[in-house]
Amino acid sequence: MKLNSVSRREFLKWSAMASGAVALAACAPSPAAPAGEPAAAGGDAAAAPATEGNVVSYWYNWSNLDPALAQIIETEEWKAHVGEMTLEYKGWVNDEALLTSIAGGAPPDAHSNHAYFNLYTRGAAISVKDMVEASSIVKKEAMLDWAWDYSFYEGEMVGVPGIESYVQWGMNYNTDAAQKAGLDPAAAPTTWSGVREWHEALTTKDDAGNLLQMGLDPGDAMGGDVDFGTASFGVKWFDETTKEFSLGDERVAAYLNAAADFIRFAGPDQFAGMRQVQGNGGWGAAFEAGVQTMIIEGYWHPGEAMINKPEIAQFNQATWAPVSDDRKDVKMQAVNAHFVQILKDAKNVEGAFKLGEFFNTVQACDIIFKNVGWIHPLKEFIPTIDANAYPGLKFYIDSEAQATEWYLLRRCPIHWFVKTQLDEIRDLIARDQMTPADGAAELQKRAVEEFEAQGLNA
Amino acid sequence: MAVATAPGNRLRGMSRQERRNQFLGLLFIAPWLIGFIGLAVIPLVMSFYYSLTRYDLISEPRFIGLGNYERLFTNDPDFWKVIGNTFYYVLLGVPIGAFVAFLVANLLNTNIKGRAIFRSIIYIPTIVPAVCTAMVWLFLLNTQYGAINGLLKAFEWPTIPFLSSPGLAKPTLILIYIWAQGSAVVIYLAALQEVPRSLYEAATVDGANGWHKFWNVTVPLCTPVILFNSIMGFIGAFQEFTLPWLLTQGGPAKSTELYVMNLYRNAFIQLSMGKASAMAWILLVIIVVFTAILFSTSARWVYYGGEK
Repeated sequence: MKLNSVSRREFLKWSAMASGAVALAACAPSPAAPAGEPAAAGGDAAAAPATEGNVVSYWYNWSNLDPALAQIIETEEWKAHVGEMTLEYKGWVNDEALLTSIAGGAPPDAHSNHAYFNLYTRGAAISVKDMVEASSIVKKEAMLDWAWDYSFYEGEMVGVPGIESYVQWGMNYNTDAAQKAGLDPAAAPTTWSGVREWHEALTTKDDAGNLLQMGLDPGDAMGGDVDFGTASFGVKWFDETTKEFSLGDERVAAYLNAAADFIRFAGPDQFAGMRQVQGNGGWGAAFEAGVQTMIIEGYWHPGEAMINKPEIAQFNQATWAPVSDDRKDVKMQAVNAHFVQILKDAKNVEGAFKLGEFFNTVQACDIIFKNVGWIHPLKEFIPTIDANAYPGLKFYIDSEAQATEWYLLRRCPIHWFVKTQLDEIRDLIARDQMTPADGAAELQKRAVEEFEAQGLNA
Repeated sequence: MAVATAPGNRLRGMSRQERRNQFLGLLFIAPWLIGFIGLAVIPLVMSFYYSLTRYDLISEPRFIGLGNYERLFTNDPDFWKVIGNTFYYVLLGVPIGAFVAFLVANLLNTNIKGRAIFRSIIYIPTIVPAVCTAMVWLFLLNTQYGAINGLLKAFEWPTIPFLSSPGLAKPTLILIYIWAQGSAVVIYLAALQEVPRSLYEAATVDGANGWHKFWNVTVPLCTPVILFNSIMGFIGAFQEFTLPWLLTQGGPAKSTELYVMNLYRNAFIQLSMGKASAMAWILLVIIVVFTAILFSTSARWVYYGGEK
């Protein structure tokens, strides 16, 4: 009888071929469902584009939203809103990871807290205007005007406003430190010169000249943003209609000088060292560490600080962010709404929109506020907020009605390039290696050249 | 007359068994070959193509010829600064690093007590993840909470802004680079143990002292390894990213912004992938030139056993 045996060589050959075939099959792209056309929101969940088990993937660049989302998806309201849809969410996804996924053709369905306008103007995200118009939840009349207006770019809606989109500017200060320095916490300054005086009083050094505590770090948090510094001196540095820059303006030079002076007073090297405390210049870290006593921040600061460092946050108070002396009567406020932005290659457009819609319910807003301290400006939700929930929060809520000047933030496609250049130039001025006028001229030159080099002026 | 054999003819000339072996050989190297083509060759070719385009990772690349190179060499705000920073770091760090590593290897090659422990300690920085290394150095050097400055403060002396002064930050990075020379030390140790004892004995008979033996026996016989470590050191230092990024993020005032950090910033923060690709190719040329210089001078200072 002839045995049908397999030699060792044949076994190896067929094994290798089988392994190769499996590896190739694994590398082949899975048949992707076509990007769904914008569907009427509020429609039947079964009408969603065919995806495996109706999953919506959502990435965001925050580290602290996860607990809120975990609660949201357990609510009956969420389940009723999305039906059988599963939300796959991933936090703390940085810009690089999102960009790589877009370039690789496998992005999530939606994202938040990345460069919305950058992505939209370059064609990576879709307009949600049609979906919003058909929605019974996301409505202009349900939201404060400025948050609604912010979501438009050249007539199209770049994302579904949601999660946190409240007022952005206020000067927070540590009342305990102020009192110890002999300052009156009830009379906090609102001009750059006034803040400079407080900075002097609040900056302390030991006998050897080592910096122990500083007043204001003008490069930290919202205060370090190019939008704030220029606006505080009355300059809108980028006109999105004409695509022109105004960074060479003498008022920008005045701002650079004012900001650099804070650093100069504390000592540039020691100042840089202080910024490395708790996270190498991390956003707001020095204030929460108790070594910075003033910070220009958004409405989220009181809540976040209380959640992170209650021992510091209990002394937090807020007032108007400083302006130049000639604008002392101006009360500035700004908008930088966050969105659920739906990406062009999304597989579940309707599911992503439903997620954005749910963030516009009072239930979701309440969970987010309680877990993270963030506010979404829904008219129905704002009155339910306890303005005294966190020290300093009341200023922000009151400021909405009192502000005399409003700014829309981060609308320039090269915003982060300009911010990087500004940081360097401010530091050079503080070290007396550049004059403020030259700094402003250099900033203008660099911005114009980069804008042109990126082909954005076409 | 010699006639070149076409590959097809060569295959036809093979026996069935040889063709089968050929096929199996290709099959077995296929995983590596696919990986090499997919993960090295294609990205290399694509990056060169992108360097000739305006590409933001999102929209389609648009061909602009040598526009990115022209921008880098003529009016980029950061290019020459990061070139300067990187050359400072490489030209000081690599030779000093190689010198210190060689000296340490010589010390560890002597019959000192606890030699195995010292060797392990020297190698530890190489196996510690860069993030941990960065944190350790921050805790040592930070002006506010750093251990060294804490000591200075305790004596009411001024602190030293190791990482926050433009004048000190680069030398501090070089110091950290030198500290992490464990791999080079191990390679030098292997080379030192290959030096024939008989040469030292002969030198002793000739009346050579310790320095003579070191300079005339040890160093020449280790020059091939010094060349190897130098080349690897230059390549690695030109591509340095992790530690400076974690320690200073390029500050203060961009004084520690190294080439690859700026390349990364261009690619992923400023969305100029075309320009970043051009920077990558310029870096390749720089590294090739450095390597070529080292090789071309090696005939004068590298001794290979058996040569006249």
